[in-house]
Amino acid sequence: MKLLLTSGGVRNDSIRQALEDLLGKPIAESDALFIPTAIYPFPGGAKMGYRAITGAMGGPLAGLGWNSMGVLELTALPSIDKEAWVPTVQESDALLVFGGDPLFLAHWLRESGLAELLPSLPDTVYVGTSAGSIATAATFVETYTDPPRGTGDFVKTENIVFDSPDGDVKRTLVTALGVGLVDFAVIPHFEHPDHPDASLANAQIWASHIPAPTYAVDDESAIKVSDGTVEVVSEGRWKLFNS
Amino acid sequence: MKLFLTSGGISNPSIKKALEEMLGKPTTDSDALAIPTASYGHRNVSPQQAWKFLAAQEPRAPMLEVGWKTVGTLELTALPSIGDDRWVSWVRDADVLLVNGGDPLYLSYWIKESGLAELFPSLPDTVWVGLSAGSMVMTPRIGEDFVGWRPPTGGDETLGLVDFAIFPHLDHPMLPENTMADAERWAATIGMPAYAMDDSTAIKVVDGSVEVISEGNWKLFNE
Repeated sequence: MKLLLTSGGVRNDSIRQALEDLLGKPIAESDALFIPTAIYPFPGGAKMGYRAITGAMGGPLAGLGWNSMGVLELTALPSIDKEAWVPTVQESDALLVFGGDPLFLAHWLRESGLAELLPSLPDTVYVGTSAGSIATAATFVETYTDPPRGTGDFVKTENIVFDSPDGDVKRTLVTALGVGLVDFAVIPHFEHPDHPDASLANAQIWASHIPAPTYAVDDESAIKVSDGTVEVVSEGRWKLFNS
Repeated sequence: MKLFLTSGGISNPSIKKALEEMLGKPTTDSDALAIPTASYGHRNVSPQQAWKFLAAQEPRAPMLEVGWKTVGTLELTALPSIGDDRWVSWVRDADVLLVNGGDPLYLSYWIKESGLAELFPSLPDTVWVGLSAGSMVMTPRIGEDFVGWRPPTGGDETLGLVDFAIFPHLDHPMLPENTMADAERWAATIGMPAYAMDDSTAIKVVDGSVEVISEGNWKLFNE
């Protein structure tokens, strides 16, 4: 499995080039499946899911101009025959894993059987956005504004208060098992004004709760993983903690 | 709920006009939720078709294509694990549910399993627009010919919000097994009034009254 772990999608030419390197061919000749599942537990999840699937939000992902696009809905997979969906996944060039709730996503990646299948796909590119990137770690830590909802399996939760220029930022830190596709963790939306918990100072505190090297990446950066080699592709800012 | 049961979507001006009368406003002023779920259960329906339905790239069976004020995806298989307090308001706020085709029994199973079926009686003004399996799911049963995905309980029963059966895609060029003779044989086994309808036809059901809108061909069996 090759991976391109983004924070905000394929937003610039460097990330796009990295994606085509991993695909080994142009996006326009590649077949992709879109996994919207993680967004559904969010407020407004139905509309955000629709916009993501149709390429209207989340940074260009579904809208990059793929040769073909399908929907792979993880919550549907346990109720359909494996023979009906496994070949589709095996034949696709890229899996586009949208953001949302990483706890919910990691649960359904396992429950669907997809997590088990992924290591047997050497040439398929896993493209994560935000939570889609977070969930690839063996163990991840996510900051929740409200306690996590929906289905998920967590290891522990702790309350934390981050400092920010606008005052205290109260979060619940949830430590949970990801699907273990990489041996590092990801903090997305690094230094994004809407994510005060991912400021430089707060990302450092966040990372101190994660038992692995942790890449904090902004929306103009991505982590490219191919044959065990990890490379950061960026037109913005990123930082490696716990190395 | 008002039901608008199509075979091939909002495929002609008569069907669109009837739908807008039910909505009481243009589609472009109406808030929609799209339900792709039935697509996943059908062996001959690919994940690409679910995407084309949502992305309004299926001109042969237009649903999203006619233009809506807002659209969300209502993924029935996800609902049990996200919590009623999250999704019930999405449904209540929608004017219309656009329900894609695929496997009718898979769709029926998930409408019940998700809790959506329980909500139906409290949605008097919401319009259900079905496409193929999205229409058949409202009938009492589909007949053995249309059974693909098998529910845990077996059988061919669907939701039964109407008291007739539907044979869709009549005389469709890509479905040689969907001739009028095939429909007649199917109707002989179904044991209730049954509409065979082509992709230019829709059945409107409001307050128990049934009306067929068509620019094509249809036939009512077992009257």
